[in-house]
Amino acid sequence: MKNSSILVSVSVVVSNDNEIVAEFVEQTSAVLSEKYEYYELLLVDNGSTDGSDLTVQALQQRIPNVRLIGLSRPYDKQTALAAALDHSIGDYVVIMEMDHDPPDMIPTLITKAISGYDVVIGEQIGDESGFFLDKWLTSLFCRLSSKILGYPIELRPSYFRVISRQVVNAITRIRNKSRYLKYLNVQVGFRHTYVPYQRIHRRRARHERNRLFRSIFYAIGMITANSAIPLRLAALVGLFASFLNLLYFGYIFIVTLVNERLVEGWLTSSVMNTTMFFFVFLILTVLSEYIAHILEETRDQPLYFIKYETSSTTSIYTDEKLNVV
Amino acid sequence: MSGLADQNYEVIVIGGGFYGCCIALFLRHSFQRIAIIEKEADLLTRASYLNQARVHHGYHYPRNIITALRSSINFPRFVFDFRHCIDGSFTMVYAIARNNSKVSAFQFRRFCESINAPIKQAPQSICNLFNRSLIEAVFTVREYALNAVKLRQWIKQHLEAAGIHVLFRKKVQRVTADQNDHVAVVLDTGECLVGQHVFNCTYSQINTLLRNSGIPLLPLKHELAEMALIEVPDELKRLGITVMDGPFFATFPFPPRSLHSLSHVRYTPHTEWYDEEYYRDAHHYLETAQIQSRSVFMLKDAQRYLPLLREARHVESLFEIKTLWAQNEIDDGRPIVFRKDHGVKNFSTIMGGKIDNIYDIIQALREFQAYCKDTKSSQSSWWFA
Repeated sequence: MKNSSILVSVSVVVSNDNEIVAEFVEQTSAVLSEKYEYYELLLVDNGSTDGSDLTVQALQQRIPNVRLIGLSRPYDKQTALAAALDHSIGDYVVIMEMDHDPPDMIPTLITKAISGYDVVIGEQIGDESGFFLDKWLTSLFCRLSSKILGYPIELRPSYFRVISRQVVNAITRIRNKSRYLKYLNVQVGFRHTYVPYQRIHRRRARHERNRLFRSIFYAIGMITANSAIPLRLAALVGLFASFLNLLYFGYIFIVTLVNERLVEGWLTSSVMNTTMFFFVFLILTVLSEYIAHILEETRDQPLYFIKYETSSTTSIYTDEKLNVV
Repeated sequence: MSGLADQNYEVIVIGGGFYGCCIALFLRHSFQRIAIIEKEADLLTRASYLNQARVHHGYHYPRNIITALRSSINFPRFVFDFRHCIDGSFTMVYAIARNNSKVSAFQFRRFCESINAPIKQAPQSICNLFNRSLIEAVFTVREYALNAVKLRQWIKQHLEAAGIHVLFRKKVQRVTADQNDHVAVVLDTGECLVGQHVFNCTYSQINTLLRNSGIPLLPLKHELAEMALIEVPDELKRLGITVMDGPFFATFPFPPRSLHSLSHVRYTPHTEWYDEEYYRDAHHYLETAQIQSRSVFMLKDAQRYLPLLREARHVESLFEIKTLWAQNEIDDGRPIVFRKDHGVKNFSTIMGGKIDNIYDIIQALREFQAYCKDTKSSQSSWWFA
């Protein structure tokens, strides 16, 4: 029995995925067309240069309900995801990653969502990748984020999730330039749940260079973009330092009164200089991070630009039998 | 010829759509015996009924200034001549989408001013109907809904008054050259009519007729178009809404049924084909194809922009073939196609574009002495003899 009461959108970002995009589209459409009367598969081409767009356009001749939106250049993943959410029309939007999310799981997640959840997140089981340091930092971040941001954020690289229309509408209203879907997801609230799933491997995992550093930047970016707590901490530290400075000033004052022989001031003044400069630079570091965000937010320009859009034109060339002329 | 000597006409118009009927009316100034041959049981039943729910003022074509300018020039004239068939009581709204639109609100405004089409910022009560994170700006404009049924009555009255014969349920099979540069029109029943001038105004069937007659085809593109008829909530009943300019939608009053039509740039065209690449009989295709309605997609997408549409109810979907001049894919123009003596002498093919551009084709016909013997009428209004 096909479900005809909802429209399901599956949204995927394509960035140079020519080798797997055809397989993914075929499998996903097969699953969707079997289970749902109304569905769409939305591919956001994030400036691919390997001909992924042509492959998809060729598929559109044959496979119905496939939409392709081409961004004008490669944007970061979060912006591409924003474009995907902006253009999905479904009652439920499924976010997937082509590399490893199994289309077979879509109906399970949707069914869970229909049973009363606004966000259903796929939780990968058996994540064998990553070193010890990686895992430790990940769990550290998770704890840190729940303290600083107020929500525990999954840092594991999975986006597989179903989002209801209500939540999509809420998220798409947030037009921050620094955006993190995982954070936005929890930030807007609504009911969440998790469904475990086993990843598949459509191709040999891409060798990600500097993954550790990227994760660290990602974590720092997410925290500073969404929380003022580090800024407040920096301000407190600054306050503390200036308080010390005040004490030191008092000490100098008293010493000047009590002691008349003031020759050796070199040590103290250089100690003071180093301490103060340490704090000044610490504060400047944090401030510059925030100023970077302010800069991005105040540049009032669209998140992204769209180059083209194409849809399935399920072809007339295949239904010859209807046209006996 | 098979005892049909009385079936001689000065002018035969094939196709009783809006353009065919108007051309017949215009030619009545210069000719006595005119016939219209119509395949269906009534006039204006197909594209003229379905595709033309509004009288354009050019707002729709910010990327083709000629079509826009002609629409805007012809608009007052059309509104006057067909004042009995239009309904001006609706508020017409153009909303500019924030993402993926080919024009910005600023450009749209400038464009409207450059073609002298009135445009105003919409009142707050109308703006509030839209999701402002998806809609950049909302304008009200002067545009009217066209009542296709009243238009049909109007045309019928005038045809009758002008004494023009209309042959219903007759399908033309082909045309061939006859003696004295006349044109023979052969029906699929084998009957044969002869006309001094014959006009092929069959829109989506133009190439079918040309092909059956062994005449080179025109570069036409066809689309199987779906228009959903919906019942909208009361707040929207008096509004006609168009979201510009890209893969968006328009929902418009459809007076013959007291409903709203809903069309969507992405979902309305189901399939398309180019006759030059792959010929097929458009009407036959429409009758035989298995078409699954996409009204759900249209509504779901439209609801994002206009949340009130969640309360709209889909009544039914109408399907029709839309034919376009193939070279206008990019700039979105809708020119009228006019080919005189195409394949056979005195046989002309005319494809209508927008309904209010009818005056352009009349003007084009006037250029020919053969169609405009009566010089007086060429200056005055051509409707009323």
